[in-house]
Amino acid sequence: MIDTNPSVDQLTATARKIEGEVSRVIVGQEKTLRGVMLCLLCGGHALLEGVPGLGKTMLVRTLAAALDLQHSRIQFTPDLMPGDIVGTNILVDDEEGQRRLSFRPGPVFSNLVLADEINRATPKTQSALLEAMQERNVSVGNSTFKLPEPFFVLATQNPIEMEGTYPLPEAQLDRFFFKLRVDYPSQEEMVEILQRTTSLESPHPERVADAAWLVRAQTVVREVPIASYVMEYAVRLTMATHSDQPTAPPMVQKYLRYGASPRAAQTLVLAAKTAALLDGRYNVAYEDIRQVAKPAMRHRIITNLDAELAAVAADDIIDELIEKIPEEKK
Amino acid sequence: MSARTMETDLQPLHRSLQSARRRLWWQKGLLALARSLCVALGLAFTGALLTAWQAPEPVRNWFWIAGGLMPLAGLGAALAIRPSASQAARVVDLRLGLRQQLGTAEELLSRGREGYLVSMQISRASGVAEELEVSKAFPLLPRRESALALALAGAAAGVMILVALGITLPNPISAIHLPSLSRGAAKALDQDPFSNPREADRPKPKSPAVDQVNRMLDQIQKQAQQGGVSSAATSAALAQANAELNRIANESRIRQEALDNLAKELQGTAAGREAAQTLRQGEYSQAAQQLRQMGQQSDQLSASAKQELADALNRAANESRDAKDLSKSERDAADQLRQGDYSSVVDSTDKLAQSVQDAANQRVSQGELAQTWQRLQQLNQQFGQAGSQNNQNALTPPVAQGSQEAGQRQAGLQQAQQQGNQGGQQGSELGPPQAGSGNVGGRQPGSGAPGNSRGGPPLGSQNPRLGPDGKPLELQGQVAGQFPGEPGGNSEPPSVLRQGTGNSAPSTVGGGANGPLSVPAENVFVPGDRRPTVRDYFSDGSGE
Repeated sequence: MIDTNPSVDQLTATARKIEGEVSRVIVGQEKTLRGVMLCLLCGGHALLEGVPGLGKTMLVRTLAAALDLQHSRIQFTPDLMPGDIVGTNILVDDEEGQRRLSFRPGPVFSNLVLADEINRATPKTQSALLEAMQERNVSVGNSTFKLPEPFFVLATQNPIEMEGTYPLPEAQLDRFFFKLRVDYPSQEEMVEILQRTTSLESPHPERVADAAWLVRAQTVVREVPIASYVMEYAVRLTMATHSDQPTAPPMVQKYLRYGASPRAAQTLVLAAKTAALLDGRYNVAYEDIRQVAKPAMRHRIITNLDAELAAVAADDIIDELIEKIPEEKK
Repeated sequence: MSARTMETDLQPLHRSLQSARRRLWWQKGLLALARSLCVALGLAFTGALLTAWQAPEPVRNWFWIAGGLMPLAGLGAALAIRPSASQAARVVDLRLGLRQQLGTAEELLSRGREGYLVSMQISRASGVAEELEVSKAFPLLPRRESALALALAGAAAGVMILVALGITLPNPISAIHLPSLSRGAAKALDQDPFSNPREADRPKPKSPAVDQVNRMLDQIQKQAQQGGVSSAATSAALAQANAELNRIANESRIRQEALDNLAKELQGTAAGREAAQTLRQGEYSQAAQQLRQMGQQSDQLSASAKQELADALNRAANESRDAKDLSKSERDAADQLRQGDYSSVVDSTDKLAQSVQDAANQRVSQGELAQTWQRLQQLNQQFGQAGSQNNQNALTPPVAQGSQEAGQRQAGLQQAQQQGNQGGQQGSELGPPQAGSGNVGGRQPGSGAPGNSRGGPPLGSQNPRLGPDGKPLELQGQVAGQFPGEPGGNSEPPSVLRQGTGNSAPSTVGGGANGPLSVPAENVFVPGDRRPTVRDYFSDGSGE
């Protein structure tokens, strides 16, 4: 437990400073950056969905530089094997000239891992990474290796090209704390991007925090108090995604096949706590829950065929939920 | 942060929340009171309107009493809804946009939660609470309810002032005009031709029989005006005309009853139900057509359906023996349906359809009968008036003067008595021509005849008829030829209904020697419970 006043204020200030440093390199994408920061501070992993060339790799690299974290990038392809991610045992010569098996860690052994185009790899390879994400350790042969702390995976997938891809199963999607959408930059942002990237001088982020700070921050955010009735609101939102619930709005009953899991409610509360802290408050408000509802729930609710035919997206349903579910219980 | 510091920080939060809680209580209480006052004033306004419309006093009193009790109920509710500190904190949060700071702090305090961030949160909430402007969160005066209460109070007071000044307000409920009702609504209200504007509304052709009575009356009038006949002869002629009119009405009723019986029996059959409904709606031409079609499609009917139809027609024939033509056609059609071939069935149902059409055409409209009856009354008043004062002389034929007077008068009396008895018998057996109601014992001055053929209940209607006071009416025999206090003195209405029982003596019908009958035609032809509607329907707005 952190028991000094400056630490909390410092935490908030540092988090904002990190965002500022990343913003010096990444133009726009404030929502994506805030989402990634929330995932970092909550100790969750993020799935970024966006077309190529929007700065996802740059975002990870900049974050790693600002936080002084070790980072790696794995380009997922259909022929990528689990060993290529988690590492493998290789034969080495020891000092005595004897040969023995030695574990060579894969790129997953980093603080920040960018899993680029995760849906291009086979399910076997995907599950190797996802197991690492969940357990925070990897097993090779009879040995188990713990991943470094903090451990943060930022996976990306392209929503357009579906040919030759292996979409992530719902159970594995559920393990991502947030699913963030990376949108195209605006015209002004595009001009700014060109100015920054086509000249000789390119901005470099300064180191603002370190891994220890991040671990400590992940503990502090869990201390943020939340009133029971605000927590009930998060639960009502989650329950309303179940079409058999009486509180489910008509859109949910019509277009949802499966609702959000309890992990969605956990994500809502934890992310809302972090959002409140980043906003300079020590308590969670309804608007914090609403703010994180979409990234926390959009990959945890499964729409049906009717929704696809009607071009109803998960975000539309979450909008409906937010509109229809009252904050105060009646 | 030490516990002492925390307690110090908690005080302003509690203080502010207590203040907010009181203010919220006041606000909720005033709101409950204002709403109850609105309901009370609404009830008072309704009570005032009912007073202005002169509604029954018990009904009005209920509104006044309920209106008086409502503020007390509102006061009770106001006292009962004391909000908790948590409720107050949450309401303040929502109304002032404090992002659940006070509510969270209050909950943390009440649950005794500890921790650094908990202390920070409570400390910050206390700071916010100290600067809180409670009056902004809880405006005491509920504006909308206050405006509504004022408006209702003004309206109720206005109505009561108008009542005190003796100004009557139009009663929208009684102003509802039957013809203005939608057809469906009118039909739902009643199924009889009063509200069925189809065939009943169409002007019917003049009945030749009634036309003949009218010609008789023309002749009587002409002769009476020329002074060529005595008053007694005039009275006798009028009595004869009256008897004829009664016969016509009676026959018309028999036909109507026969049609009703046919409709009733066909209603129970699958094949004839459509025709039955059309008959009930008074669309006899269409019903005849449907009966023809039924015959033409009889080859598609099963044996049991034919048997069912034949039985129904047979029953209708048995119930309508007095309408001989129709009864015979019904029986023939029933026989053919049982055993005849297709062509004979078609022929017999054609004949039945024609009989239905004839029976419908031979009915006499209420308006026509009423007009003739009214005219008969007028003539009786004009030319039989002298006889009413000395009816015995008036009825005495001219030849009865002098030595032969007594014998001739006796002969006249016998003749009149014979006619009277005959008519009485008819009336007793067959009922009133229009099955209408009348109250001879309580005759009212003036007359209001149904002026055209639009009105009038159906002939032979099987609805029980009531007098103006709601008592069932008893049929009394025809007393043609008997005038009040003097047998054979004058004609009576086509049939006479008398209220009450136990006195069927024809001589008592007149109820006094006040000359011609002055019963409004509507009292004879229209059931008591229908009269206001019919009067309103035929009035031209002048109140007549």
